[in-house]
Amino acid sequence: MHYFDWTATTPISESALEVYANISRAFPGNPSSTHTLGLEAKNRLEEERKRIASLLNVSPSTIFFTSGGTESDSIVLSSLLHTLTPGTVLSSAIEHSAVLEYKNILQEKSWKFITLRCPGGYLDPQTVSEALTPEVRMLCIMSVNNVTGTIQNLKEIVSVVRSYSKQTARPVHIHCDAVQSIGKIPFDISSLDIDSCAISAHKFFGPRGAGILYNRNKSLLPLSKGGGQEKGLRGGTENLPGICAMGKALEEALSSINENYKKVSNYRNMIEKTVLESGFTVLSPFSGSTKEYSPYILNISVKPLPSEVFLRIMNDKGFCLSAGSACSTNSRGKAESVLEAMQIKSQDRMSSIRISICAKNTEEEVVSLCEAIKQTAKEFK
Amino acid sequence: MNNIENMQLYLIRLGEISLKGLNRRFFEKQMKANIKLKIHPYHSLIEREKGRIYLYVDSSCPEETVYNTLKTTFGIVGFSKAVVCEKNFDSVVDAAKSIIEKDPFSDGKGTFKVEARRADKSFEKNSYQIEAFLGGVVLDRFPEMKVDVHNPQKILYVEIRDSAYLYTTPVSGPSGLPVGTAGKGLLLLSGGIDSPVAGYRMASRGLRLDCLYFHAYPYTSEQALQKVKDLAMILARWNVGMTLFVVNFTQAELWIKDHSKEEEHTLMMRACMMKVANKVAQKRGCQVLVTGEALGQVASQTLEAMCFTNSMSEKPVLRPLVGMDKQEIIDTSRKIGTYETSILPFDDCCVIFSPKHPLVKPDTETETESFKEMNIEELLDKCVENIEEYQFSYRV
Repeated sequence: MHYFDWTATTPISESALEVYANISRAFPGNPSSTHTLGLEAKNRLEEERKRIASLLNVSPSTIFFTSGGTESDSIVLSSLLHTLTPGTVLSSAIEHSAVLEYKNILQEKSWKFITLRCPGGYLDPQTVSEALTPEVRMLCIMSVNNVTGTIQNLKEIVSVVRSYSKQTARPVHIHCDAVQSIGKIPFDISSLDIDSCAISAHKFFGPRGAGILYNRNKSLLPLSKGGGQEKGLRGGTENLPGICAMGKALEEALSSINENYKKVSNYRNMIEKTVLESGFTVLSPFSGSTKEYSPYILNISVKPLPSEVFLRIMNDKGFCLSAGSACSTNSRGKAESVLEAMQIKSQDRMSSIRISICAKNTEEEVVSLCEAIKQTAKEFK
Repeated sequence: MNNIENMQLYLIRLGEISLKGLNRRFFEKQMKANIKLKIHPYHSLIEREKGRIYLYVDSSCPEETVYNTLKTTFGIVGFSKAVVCEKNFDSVVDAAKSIIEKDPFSDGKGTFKVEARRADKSFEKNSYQIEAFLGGVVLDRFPEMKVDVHNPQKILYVEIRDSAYLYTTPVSGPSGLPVGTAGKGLLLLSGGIDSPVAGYRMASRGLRLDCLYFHAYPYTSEQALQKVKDLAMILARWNVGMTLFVVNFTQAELWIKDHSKEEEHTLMMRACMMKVANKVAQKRGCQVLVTGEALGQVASQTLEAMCFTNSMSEKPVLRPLVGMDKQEIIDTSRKIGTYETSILPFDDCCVIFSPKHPLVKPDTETETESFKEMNIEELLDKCVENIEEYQFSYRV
């Protein structure tokens, strides 16, 4: 099978797997234990925290290890539930369900959860500016959209919020879902002036079940208190082998980020050209568009074929693709909600296919994917 | 009576079968065969005596297997697990003590009575004495229970005949008539809620069913096919086994799409399904077709549409749900255990074959002409030739 669903998950890299195995063997202790094995594990954990912080160019005190992106998002959003006076949360309408599912939860607790429209997949800083009120406590905005690859103008959006806060003296927590950015596109957390951000290891060849919450807001409260690990923000025994393997994968991803970006951009152009030649539609921004996008994700419409039919045809031809977001296929109709928020026509939404590319794909694979797309268009359109 | 040592006894009550006249034996024979088949490989004996059916099952057979068998065998109105003991009062009391530890007495709540019948008048106690004493036994064990001789929720029966027989309020069976007594039908099974219920209802009238499913991969998924297989498997319990035929319908669907007007797609598809179903029914010796259509439920189930699809079938089409409300159908679906599978989100028809504005009041003559113009008969013959067959066990 040829894998073109890297946005859903990536397999753990050989070197990360080696680290995982080595750490599992070498550090059997619980970092919270006070005996030698426990202390050794604790030291190794803190060493890794420093290493990861330095890779991400942030302070080690802002790195909290979690189980992945969803948990990192959940810690930040669930923290609001403990607040005595409910306020307002602003969120782009194209966030991952890890964020959007909090709409109902927060509304039940009298919070206002406003989803901001994103025509074409972009949140206009002006829209944010208009939505800001003194009641706003948090803004959730993803960096790279997992369905179409659009990249938000975070700098400008953050600046709009910060200047509003300055004028009104009302602090607004800015949370960013950076799951599809880290290790793929340049993403400097420090220079963005955000308060928190979610990172997941299995999106950049790290292990499943490991992630990071970057956080500089000291008033956040934990989702699971447990034994008070991670400075009380994330209880539960730390996944030391997973964390160290994540560090290794992150190091590898960042070291080849530019080279990979170039290769993937080239692949994306090849596929985009084929898609258009085959008479299908491109839903992601076109190559060379002035708007920012990630080359790792290309969303197309295979109208008139419904997404799932196209997926089956391509699966039989040996290609793993995805309809919308893999996390949503269990709940019917949800996969298209992001596309709907992007104001994409209903027929295209029903026929939307996400092709996600990686530098590990070979050019031959991309060529055969293009051939298969062309062939399918000829046979079934 | 045959050797019944080491066998557990169940008393079976018959409903409609008991109203039968000279052909009553025929129905009973089929029911016995169905029960024995479902309990196999465990040894079982079925006796008929004085209007009762006695089922003896090898005691190594799990009680659950017997219960599941009897609860899914049409013709049975109710059944009770009975305890047989020696004809002396102490043994009867011990047997009563053990039987009330089980359902329906085991929860120790509600009202009850003891009903004794003494065919052997030489027994040491009379019926009233037996009832009074055993009533005391129940109350000693379950002080919260109350005696109600007029409308009891639970009854402990005691019969003194060749031996002493004790049993409690019967567990309900599915009633109806034994599968296999009314001939054979072909059920058009989709993955939806209705068709399994239609199959259940016809099986409950004694019709033995085969199932037919139209698969249009890649336009319908493998999961949709799996869902239909799962439904056939559930129905197999009621139908005493099931054969599912899967027709590869992709080429036919594409042909219909290319050779008929958009608003006629669904009607032409139904017509083709009827044609294929008739051919399969003929091969399998099925006398009728069964569908899950309910009048007016969707565009293809209006009276006019049904008249048209009827005209495409030589075999009679039975539609047991035709006058049922959707909620009634859902309730039955839940009862027979198909609902959870039916609602899995794997469609049995792709949207690209479903017209936006289907014809709701088709004219049979016009549509018959349209069908002929499609010239699809040869393709449908091929569909039947390449049919796949799956067998599902009657094991419960």
